[in-house]
Amino acid sequence: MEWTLDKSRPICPQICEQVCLRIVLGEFQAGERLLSVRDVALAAGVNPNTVQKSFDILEEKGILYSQRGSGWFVSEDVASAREMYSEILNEKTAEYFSAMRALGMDHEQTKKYVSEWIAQKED
Amino acid sequence: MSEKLLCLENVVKRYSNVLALNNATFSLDSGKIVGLLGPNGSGKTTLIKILNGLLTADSGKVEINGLAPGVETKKIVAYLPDNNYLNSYMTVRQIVNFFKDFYDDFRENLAYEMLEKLGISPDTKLKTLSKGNKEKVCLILTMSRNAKLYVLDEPIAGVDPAARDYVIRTIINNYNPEATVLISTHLISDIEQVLDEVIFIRDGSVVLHKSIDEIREEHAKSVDELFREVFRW
Amino acid sequence: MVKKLFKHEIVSYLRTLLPVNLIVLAIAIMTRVVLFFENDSIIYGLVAGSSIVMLFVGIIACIYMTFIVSIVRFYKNLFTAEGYLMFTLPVTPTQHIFVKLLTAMLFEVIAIVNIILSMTIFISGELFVEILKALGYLLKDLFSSPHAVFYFIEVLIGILIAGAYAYLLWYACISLGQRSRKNRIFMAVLAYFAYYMITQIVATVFMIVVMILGSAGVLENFANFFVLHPYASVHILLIAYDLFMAALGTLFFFIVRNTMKNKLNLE
Repeated sequence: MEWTLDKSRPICPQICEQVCLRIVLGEFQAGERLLSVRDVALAAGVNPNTVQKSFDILEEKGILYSQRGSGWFVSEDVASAREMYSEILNEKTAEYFSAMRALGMDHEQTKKYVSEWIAQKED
Repeated sequence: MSEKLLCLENVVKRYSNVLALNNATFSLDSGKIVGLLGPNGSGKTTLIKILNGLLTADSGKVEINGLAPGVETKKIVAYLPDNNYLNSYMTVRQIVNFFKDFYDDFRENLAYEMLEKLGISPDTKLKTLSKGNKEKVCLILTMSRNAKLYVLDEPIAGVDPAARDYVIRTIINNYNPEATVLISTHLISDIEQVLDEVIFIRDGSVVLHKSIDEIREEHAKSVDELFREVFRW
Repeated sequence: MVKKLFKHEIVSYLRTLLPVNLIVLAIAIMTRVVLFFENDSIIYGLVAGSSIVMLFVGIIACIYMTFIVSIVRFYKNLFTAEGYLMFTLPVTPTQHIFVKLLTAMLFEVIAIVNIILSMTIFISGELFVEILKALGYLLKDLFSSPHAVFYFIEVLIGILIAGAYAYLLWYACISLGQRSRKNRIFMAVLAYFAYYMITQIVATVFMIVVMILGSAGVLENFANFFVLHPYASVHILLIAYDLFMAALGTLFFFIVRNTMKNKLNLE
């Protein structure tokens, strides 16, 4: 899975989101040892300080926990991660509807269009 | 308050009738990767030369780890110039030995490791290397030092995109909380993700010094875009 | 640090100068062998003649090449792109100059020793023994007076100082040339010629002043002193020369050092 980062948003929150995404999608398993700060920095092509900050924030939220000498682990309780995931979904959807509005489609029209589009794809 | 790794205060440098640095002031903590961004002629090169002891400031304070530029700071500063400074008749092994001889903090094993990963044999003559490989060797030599301040002058200009990725990976891999990396460049969008802070310099003065996230938060745009705005012609 | 600089300096000199010196030596050996087959044939005459000519050309080339290699090395290593590497080493400008100068002089000495060796090989045989004997008598005569030993030392020091002076002069000219933004090598050569002109003018003026003073009888005391104390006079002249050249050399040194510290303008 690629680490896709938006250049106009701060990096730190984006790293947090992407970690949550991977937890929810199963790439990082609950209770498992996470990649190290350096590995994530390398994979995402970002500064290790930023990753460190993100991990600290996620620890505060209860999504990750650290063990001295062993590294970072995914918390057993994935509720917080799911919460963040929901926020991402929400934002993406809002973005989509906003983009469609700019093309002259209101909510109802967009909903209809999406259904037709899916039906077509299934043929 | 931790002591700053790098501290510049009202640094002035004049060349005949050109004021290259006009009261340049900023300071950096250790453990940061900082971008020094500015158009050509903004004073970046002059600043870098002063940090490396290649030029002396006319006035103002320059302190690296509390010391003025000189023999002692050269021991803890690793410099990657933007031109080819290697003597081409040497082999890779000879230049590695050269660095090992003069720099106590040079990590020979790391250098050979990185060279091996690139498939560059130690017995290759420098003059037979391609331009891209020569630049990578220079980068390896610089990053193999365990310095307190790394000064990289345009490390990704004139290099293909794959090589740029290599440079960025090498910088991340080499990250050390006791050291700071100062990268001078105008290829901002390729490198801004890896930076902690940026310094915008124009006409010899510092016009901005903020963290990347602060800028993206405040201006809702990338540093590259902000740069284009600030330095619009 | 200085030892390491020396090591690297010597290694890079050997690259160009070792072959040159070895070739001269080889030509000397070859010439000696050719001379062994002495006869009246034209072929012998041609071969021996050209061999001897090659030897002498080689010897002259060796001396000049050593000087040129040193000067070029100084410029290239410190004032072109390589300067970025050299001046970021934890080494002071003084150490850089010191090492460059000493290595240059070392290789001049090597060249001279090589030439003496080559000439010895070339001349070896009865003629050589005769020359050695004559040299022995000459030296015995020379060193009969106690002054001679001191003269010898003063002259030797003078030669060393003159050698250092010659290099430091070029180093200073190169440094001054560096201060201009364009045409640096041209400016360096210009500086050298300017210096030469100035020394010529000063020398001429000095001569004229001496002649005028001399004919006016002002210098009579000096002349008397020279006549009464010939030995002391020579000592004074030698020592004065040594000090004067050393002073100029020191001036050049400071010009170079100042350029490296404050006016280094690498491209």
